[in-house]
Amino acid sequence: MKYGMNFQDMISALNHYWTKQGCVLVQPYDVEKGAGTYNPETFFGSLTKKPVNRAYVEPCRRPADGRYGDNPNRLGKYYQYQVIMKPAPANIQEIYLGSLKAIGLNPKEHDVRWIEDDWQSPTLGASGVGWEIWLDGMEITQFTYFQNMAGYALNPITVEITYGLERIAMYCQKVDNVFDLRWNNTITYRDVHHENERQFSHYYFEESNVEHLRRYIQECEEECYALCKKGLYLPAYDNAMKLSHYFNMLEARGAISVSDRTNNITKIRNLAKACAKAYVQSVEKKEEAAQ
Amino acid sequence: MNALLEIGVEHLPARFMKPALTQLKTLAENLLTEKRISYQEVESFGTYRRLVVFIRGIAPKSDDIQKEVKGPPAKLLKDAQGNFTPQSAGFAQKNGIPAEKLVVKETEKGPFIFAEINIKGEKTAQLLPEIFTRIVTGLEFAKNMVWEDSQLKYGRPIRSLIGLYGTKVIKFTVAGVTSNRNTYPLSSFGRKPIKVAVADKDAYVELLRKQFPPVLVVPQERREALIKTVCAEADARGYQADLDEDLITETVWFTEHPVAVCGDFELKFLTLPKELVTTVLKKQIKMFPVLNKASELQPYFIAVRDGLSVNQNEVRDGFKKVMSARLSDAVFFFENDKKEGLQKFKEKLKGILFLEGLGSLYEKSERTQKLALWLCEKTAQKKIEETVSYAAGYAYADLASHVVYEFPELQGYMGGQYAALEGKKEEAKAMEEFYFPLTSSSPLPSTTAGNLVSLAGKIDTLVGNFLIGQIPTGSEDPFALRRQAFAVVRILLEKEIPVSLKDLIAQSAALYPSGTADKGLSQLPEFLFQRLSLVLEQRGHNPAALKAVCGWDTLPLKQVENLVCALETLTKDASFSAVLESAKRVSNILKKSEKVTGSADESLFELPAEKELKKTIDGISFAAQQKPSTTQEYLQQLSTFKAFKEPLEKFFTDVMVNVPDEKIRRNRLLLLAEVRTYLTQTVADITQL
Repeated sequence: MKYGMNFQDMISALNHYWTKQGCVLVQPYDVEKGAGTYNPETFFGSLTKKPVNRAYVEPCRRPADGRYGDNPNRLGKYYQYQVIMKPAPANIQEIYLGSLKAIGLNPKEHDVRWIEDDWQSPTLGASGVGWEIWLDGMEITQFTYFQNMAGYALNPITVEITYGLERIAMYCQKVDNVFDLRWNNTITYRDVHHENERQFSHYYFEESNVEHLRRYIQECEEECYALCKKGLYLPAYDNAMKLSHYFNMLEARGAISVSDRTNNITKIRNLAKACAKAYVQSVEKKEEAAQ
Repeated sequence: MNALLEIGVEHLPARFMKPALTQLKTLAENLLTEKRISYQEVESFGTYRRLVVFIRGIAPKSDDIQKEVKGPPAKLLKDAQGNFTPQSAGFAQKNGIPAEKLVVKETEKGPFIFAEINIKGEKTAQLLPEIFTRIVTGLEFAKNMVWEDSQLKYGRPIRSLIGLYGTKVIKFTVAGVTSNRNTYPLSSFGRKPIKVAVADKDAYVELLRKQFPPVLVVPQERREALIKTVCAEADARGYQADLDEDLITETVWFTEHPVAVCGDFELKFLTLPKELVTTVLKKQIKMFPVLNKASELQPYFIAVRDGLSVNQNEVRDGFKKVMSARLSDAVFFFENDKKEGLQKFKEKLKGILFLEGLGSLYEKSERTQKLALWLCEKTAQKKIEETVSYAAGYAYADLASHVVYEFPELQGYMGGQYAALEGKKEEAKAMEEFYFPLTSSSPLPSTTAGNLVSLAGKIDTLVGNFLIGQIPTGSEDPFALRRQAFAVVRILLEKEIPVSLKDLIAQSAALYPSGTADKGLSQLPEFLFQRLSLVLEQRGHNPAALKAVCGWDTLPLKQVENLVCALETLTKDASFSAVLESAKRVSNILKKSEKVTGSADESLFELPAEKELKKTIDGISFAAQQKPSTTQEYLQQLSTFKAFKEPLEKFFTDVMVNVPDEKIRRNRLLLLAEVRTYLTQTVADITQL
């Protein structure tokens, strides 16, 4: 394949591949988040005993990383392709390598290197053990066996595979500028996203209202705890995600001091824990009722 | 017969590998000993995906042993009627022997009943499942994870196990994986099993080597192949590869079949400082730099891939792209730093903490500068004062630069680069080598200024840490204070700095704010003494001689070494050795006797031996007042001790110290105390030799 797959074909190929591996194909979750791990499918999915196999594209927002669409490698919003499987299949490495082949990258013809990289998310109170995967020196995937989520030691263990879609596509299509990626065979990533990058950079760096953001953070926190108390962990968790995004926006705005930062991270972690606890309790209750 | 165990794992981090292989060998040896199975040799080897234990010449069964079990006291053997008592009968039964076979043996606590039992050896094949299981589960890693139901904690998931005894599979199960005879290709090359027929190292190694792609399972073989493939790429371009030892070791542990890929990069990157480029290459993207004969960096990189040399051009382009992006980042940081300059960095040091309670790095810079200037004065190096002042004042400035923030290992070096950009050549050299020596045996700074600045910085760090009680214990030494102490000792000694450690520490401590609490500075001399002892030993000296030196920390270290040399020479001298023995005797007598103070009264001497001894003391004490410093001078001074040989020997032959007459006895003890003072407190305590 001389020019590599276009962006949407690549996503289709991954969807097709992981569907064949028994994953439920879910759609992106419609709340802003910094990484695919925040998606409730992953967050709640990893917490209990029942098997979970999911695959989805997840748009991620990193306000501080935006560059007005001027930087060939940096985006304030980009896509991750996320797979979670619980329990982790014994041949999961082999399955993953198969997915590379599915998008036109034959592992036998490249250097695929598994570099030790133990992941942790202080805001989710989560950690895992695994690798970042380098393809010919470039990081293309994060491969993690979750060990803890929201402070809970996990059993069974979920494996999370996160592909950096733009990077892989740039490699396959041999382009040096992310905006030159072919989205399909007629339009480019620029056509789809450049204006978005430009406008949101202005918003995140110049126009966002710091006082509003601080107020939203407070409101989200209150709302989250109130909902947790009622066992409504799903909307509660939406509020935790939103708070996390507003916090990222404040950071992009340069409105966060070092101690502010630590406080907010603790705040988000506590919310995540409260949601996880409400979820685990509701599952336990259901189990008791069933017995 | 031989036995072979292979643990097939997902990619273990390179840093886990050496400790794992070392443990595997020990674990296997200990278990074989515990199970009483004799063997010729245990070897461990492997790759990041297969850990292998090979047991050569393993015995077919474990050894029989005879064991003696102690039972009740002998009086309970039989009753008055001559029948075995319930106690002895029960004891015999418990040990599986008839009561008639019980014996009585004498012990320290009187006679007791013993059962002598034979334990039969078991077949090795029956013991191996447990042995293999325990080898696998006994391994410990720096960091663990769980991944399956049994919740075994391990470095990475176990995915296959081979247990072979001769040609037979030894069945055992760990973490849900049951052993068989299957190993697998490189990770990107599928999971088609490769069957291992027999537990034979050569056959196993060869079986893996002949796969396509080959697996070089013996680390040494992989290392040789790696060096060969990397050098071949450099050779083909008429250059040589920078075969960095750390990078070679790391690469050996993340490949099973290393294949080099060489590419070029844009010439513009060569305008970056050399170490910056090589650090990006080696540390960030694990590539070998390429050099010409004059060790100048060339615009090439050599990456190593695991597998085959197919599709080399595309792989090379991938590596090239990554490398170019990383070097572009480096250019960005370096250019930003150049715009700021050292003075601005130094200002930023005000916001960086040195140690909790001891202020910022800016204050540390100021102290280091003052101390370095004091050293200049003490070493009569006035002419390099300006160089020393600049280098010491900016020695820490690069810690606030973008490049050092990204690449901490370039501290010092980058400072030198920035100083050079400001036209400070001599200063640049001193700053570049500020952290030298980097290891206990690596070179010291190459210039006098460099050594003084480096010394000042390190003493300040040691004094600061000891002041706040942050003193290394056991294996805990997070600030590498031992290494710094080692460096201090080496500079003082090798550069013959004419300053004593006592003065140096006092001077440094005085530069800390006057109210600074002292939680352990008094322990610093002993800490340095231990390093000095090691350094002297490395330099071929007997560390015991150092213990004999009086007031070692009040002398320049070169002088301490001279004195140690003199002592070593003299211990080979027969009459000196004789004095040494007598001195120990004097010391022992005084230790066992009552304490006496004052000096001996000549009018109380009764025997010529006493008078002669006194005369010896008086005759040579004048000579002791000379201040020696060279080995020769120390030899001369210590040789005066030899004058004590005959007087002391005569004294011990003729004079009885412990006489009933108290006056005489005390007077003789006083005389010996004078001798002791002379032989143990003037230059060296020769009783320590």
